[in-house]
Amino acid sequence: MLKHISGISIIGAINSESSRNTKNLGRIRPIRTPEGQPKFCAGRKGLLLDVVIDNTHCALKCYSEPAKRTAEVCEYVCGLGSDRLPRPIFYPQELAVPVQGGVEWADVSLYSWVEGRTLDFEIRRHAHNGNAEMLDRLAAEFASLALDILNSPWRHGDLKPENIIVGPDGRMVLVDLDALWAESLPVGEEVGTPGFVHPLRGTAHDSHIDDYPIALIATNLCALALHPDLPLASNGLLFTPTEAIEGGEVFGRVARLLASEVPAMEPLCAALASPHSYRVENLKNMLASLCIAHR
Amino acid sequence: MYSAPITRQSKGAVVLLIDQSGSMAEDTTFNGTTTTKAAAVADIANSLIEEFINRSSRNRGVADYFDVAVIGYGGEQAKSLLGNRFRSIVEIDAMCVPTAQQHSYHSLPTGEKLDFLFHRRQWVEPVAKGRTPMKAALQEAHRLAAAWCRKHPSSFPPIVINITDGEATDATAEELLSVADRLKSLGTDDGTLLLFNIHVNAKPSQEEVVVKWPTDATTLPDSRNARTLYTMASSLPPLYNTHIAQIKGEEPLQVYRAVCYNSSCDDLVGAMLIGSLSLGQII
Repeated sequence: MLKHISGISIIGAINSESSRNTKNLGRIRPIRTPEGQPKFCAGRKGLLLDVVIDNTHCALKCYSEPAKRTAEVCEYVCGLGSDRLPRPIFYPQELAVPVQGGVEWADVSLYSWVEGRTLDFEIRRHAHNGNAEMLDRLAAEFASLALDILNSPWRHGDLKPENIIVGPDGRMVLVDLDALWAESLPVGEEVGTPGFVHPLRGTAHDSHIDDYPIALIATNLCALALHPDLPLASNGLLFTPTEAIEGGEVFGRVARLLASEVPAMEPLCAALASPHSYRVENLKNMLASLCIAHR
Repeated sequence: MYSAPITRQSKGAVVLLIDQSGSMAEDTTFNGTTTTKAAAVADIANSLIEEFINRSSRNRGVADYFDVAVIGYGGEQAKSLLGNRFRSIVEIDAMCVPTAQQHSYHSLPTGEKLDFLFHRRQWVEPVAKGRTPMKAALQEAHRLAAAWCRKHPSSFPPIVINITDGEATDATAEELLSVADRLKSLGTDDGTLLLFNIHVNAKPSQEEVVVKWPTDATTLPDSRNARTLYTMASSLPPLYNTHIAQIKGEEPLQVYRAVCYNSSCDDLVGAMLIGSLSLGQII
């Protein structure tokens, strides 16, 4: 039997709204779209659903395959008590899901709800409106988030604007913790998203895996805050890692603009263009300078 | 090779070829109920399309990760069922098609019955008429896939899944193999196109040999059609090995052929999952 649960089966299970198809969680009520379908988005490991359980709004991740190391990640994150990460609880073999020839029990993890919008949405919105002030606030808050990450014993592992929620107060929280790295955790299989990681990251899992995405997002936000009219690229930023390393036209333009307007950004641009390593040396100091520049 | 992840910049493509000949009107058992092969196959094709939509769902809605084409062949012609070209998964999601609510009852090991609810959108309708112009369907798939490969040279190569219950009536076995070879010669920088042949049998009897993902032709039944479908199908790259070996309960060390013969409609669901497996690596 192929131990892979399709998204359709997960939606079918959530649609039933029965309390009998869970072992511990009771009745799961999905938040629905205007068309009556459960609200969800897909990730590499399964579906993330917007649900209400016991009158509490939460995010429920249903895994399409048995979740490896998720129990350890959830326990670790709860132990941290970081306000940059939502608190997850892992329930192995919790949700009865219809599969060919019977029922499979899917692993799920339940996250406290994070109110807000994803950073990629916010970037597009403020860039579209030409709102330099809001883009500058995003740049400042991102630099603060990045410093918090670098001062922590963990790394996110798949840092990208889609995985960053900007709250109503502007504070940023990270979601999708499947790729989380910490010295004490078993090594994960996730390798980040190509549009945001250095090509040399490969399967590396260490304290430097967030360096390049941090430098990339910080540089892009800073450039957008100065020039909201710059065109967004396929990854929702101004340029991709490949374009930076290969000296693409947009990256060259951004680097020149920043060199003349924010000298503190020059070393970050140099790091982004380096083909030699996914590590960015002296990143904390560069971000601290950025935070001062944004004040 | 066969390692390109599916991204918004490097989409995946799948072509479904669906036999809609008269024999598809035959009754079969699917999901515990009696229905026609045409209805079961349409249901499975619709589920696969819905699954691609699910896999592409992101915070802002469905993202453009896949192109899909569906070609029905029956009567005298092969016809693109979603329009005369590939459709992006975003376009397919936006199509106005009939939706049916479907309950599905499954039992827990305790004997307790659970009721699951599905909203089925029906892009593909059951059709069963006339002859089996499989060659024409493969030629149409070639036309679509050739253009797609030129446009997406660095993507994972297209997957073509041919679901049939019979033999082509518009070509000899040699002609069919020649058209299949032309189709399989297409590809991208990441590999050549993969052609799957899934042969369905309404009610496989105990005497009929059921073949799933064989490694060679020796396990095939003594049938010209089985040999033709086997030879037409692609040899699968290693990325499929673990899952197929898991199903077959063996060590994943072989090169499997992308063919199933005498599959029940229930087996077809699993076969389609395998066929679309490589398109699950979305980033």
